[in-house]
Amino acid sequence: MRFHDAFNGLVLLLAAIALLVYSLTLPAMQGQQFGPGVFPLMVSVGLGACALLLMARAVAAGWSGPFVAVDAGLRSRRGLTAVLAVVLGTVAYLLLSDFLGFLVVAPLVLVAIFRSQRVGWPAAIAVALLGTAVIHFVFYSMLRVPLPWGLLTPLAW
Amino acid sequence: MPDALLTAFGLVFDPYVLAVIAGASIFGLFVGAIPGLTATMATALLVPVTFFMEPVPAIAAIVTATAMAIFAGDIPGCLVRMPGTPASAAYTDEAYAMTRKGQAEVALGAGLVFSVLGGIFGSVVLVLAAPALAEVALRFSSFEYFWLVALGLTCAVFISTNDPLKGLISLFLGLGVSLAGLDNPSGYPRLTFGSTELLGGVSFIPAMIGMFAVSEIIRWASEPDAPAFKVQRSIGNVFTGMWKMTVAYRWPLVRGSTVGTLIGALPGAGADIAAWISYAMSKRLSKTPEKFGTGHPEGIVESGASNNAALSGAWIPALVFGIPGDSITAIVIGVLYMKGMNPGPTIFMNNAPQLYAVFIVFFLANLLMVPFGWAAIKAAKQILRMPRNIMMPIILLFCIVGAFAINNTAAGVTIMLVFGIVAFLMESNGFPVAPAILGMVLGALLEDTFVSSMIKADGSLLGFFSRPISATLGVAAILVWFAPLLMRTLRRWQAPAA
Repeated sequence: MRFHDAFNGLVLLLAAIALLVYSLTLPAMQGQQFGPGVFPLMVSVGLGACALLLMARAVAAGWSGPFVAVDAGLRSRRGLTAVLAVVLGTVAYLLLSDFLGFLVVAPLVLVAIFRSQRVGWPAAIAVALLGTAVIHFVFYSMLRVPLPWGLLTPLAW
Repeated sequence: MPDALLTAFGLVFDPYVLAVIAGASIFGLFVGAIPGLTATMATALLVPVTFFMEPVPAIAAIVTATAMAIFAGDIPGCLVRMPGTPASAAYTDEAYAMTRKGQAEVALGAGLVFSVLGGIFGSVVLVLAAPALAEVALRFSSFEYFWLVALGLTCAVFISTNDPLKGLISLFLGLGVSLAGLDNPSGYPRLTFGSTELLGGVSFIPAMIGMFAVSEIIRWASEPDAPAFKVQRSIGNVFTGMWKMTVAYRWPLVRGSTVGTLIGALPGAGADIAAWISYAMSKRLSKTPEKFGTGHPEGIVESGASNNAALSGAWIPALVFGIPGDSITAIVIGVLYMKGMNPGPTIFMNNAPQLYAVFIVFFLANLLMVPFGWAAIKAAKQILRMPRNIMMPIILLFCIVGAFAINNTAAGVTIMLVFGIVAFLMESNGFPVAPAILGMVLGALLEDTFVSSMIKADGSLLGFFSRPISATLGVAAILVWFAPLLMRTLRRWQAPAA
């Protein structure tokens, strides 16, 4: 996903302005000559100046090139599904793991991503279960990371 | 010192630590040999596991895994013309040309042997230079540190990128991220968006896992037609003729190791840039430059030594000043703080035995590369057959759990995902990621040293040039800032005359 640099510059400029406004709202601290807003102010000015230069450079180059160029992989249905599976799979894990538990959500997310990669059903299910079991063993049993149990809490060990 | 050294040997030659080193070797070789997985990613994936270890095995695991990964990157480059890590990209075509000439053994052997020699050279320099630099650094005040950080960030922008403007933007974004949280000279909560999770700042390790592992997984997913790797034939003895080659190419070896160590020590530039520069230098200074590109081992010797030397070199500024030499040591600095081995010149007093133990691990890891590397070359066929559509999703789950494990909060996973997507978008739009990471690591130090220097100097910028060392560093930094402008003016000034 390649955006035109004029657009990149605009987004960065807006971020810089937001940071600038925010840094001006930071209070001066009593007895301190340099409050918490000084350094953010410097960063925002630097970022803003660079963003303007980037836009100027893109405009000077004559607006050539498309506004947004999507890579061939992402234009194909398979590539798009695969990327969405990775991103939305992680989001689904975030939203559901506390309620359903690691041992339920992790295999589901893995199967979804495997399927987006055209791994056959039997292999996808087998590897998802095995991978989840191994990672759960390493992190929960060996390293004592409190992975959520969710619905399976009565079965927890 | 002898006591500390003895303790250090005891710390390293402990069955548990040795087992960790062996495990990290295999992990590093595996990650390095698989195209799409990098040495930095190996580090980011290791951190959640090493989080639960004592300092010495934790650091030893990272040192070993990265050294092995940088060598192992040569293997697929040579066999299937696909570098395993970006650090091998510089001489992939050369190595593959040798394979086509039926000299795969020579190319792999040169990759292995000269990786080991370069790595040992870099480690020697690290052991000698770091304590000496620390002596000097003990006398540094906030003024010197400010300029040192400024110089480091400048290097990251100008060396690691071919588009300094985008590098600079990336740096400012990293500095912007470092603003979040309470950790600023005023102790005032900034940019927390009302979240208690952000009071301590953006959790660094989950962010790194996102930028180096998740972004790589997204990129892999977005390229659905990645080629399958097939190794045609089995590999014979890789050590044949290596002694003769060491003698014949002793100068390229020394040059590659020296350049590699120096580039590694420069902030922001790591093994990949070291390899590119060394390969170009080797070609320019060779007696037979016309042979380069046709399957000639000279460039492989020089740049293969260079990238492994760079790994060790990067630790010099990281340990002495807390300024990372590459993206791997950027993560390492976070680990050092977590383990109570705060980087800085005082590390040599407060943590001497642990530090010597780390030095010993550098040599051990590079020596272990000979048998382990040999085994990895033998197993290359199997490693490269590993289907990535099975492996990558498992790595993603590993990342999720690892990001969660750092603070045991889901916020870690959110940070990981956000930084993964941002890093993917940045790279596809030509913004280098390395300066952003340096900005995140060094932002707090830059602000601290700036504010305390301003207070000491009573708000006068001249204070930054009032001490001899700080004035020198300051002038150097400013010269680098204006170098591109100066060069352009000079060129314009010369053009009419020519």
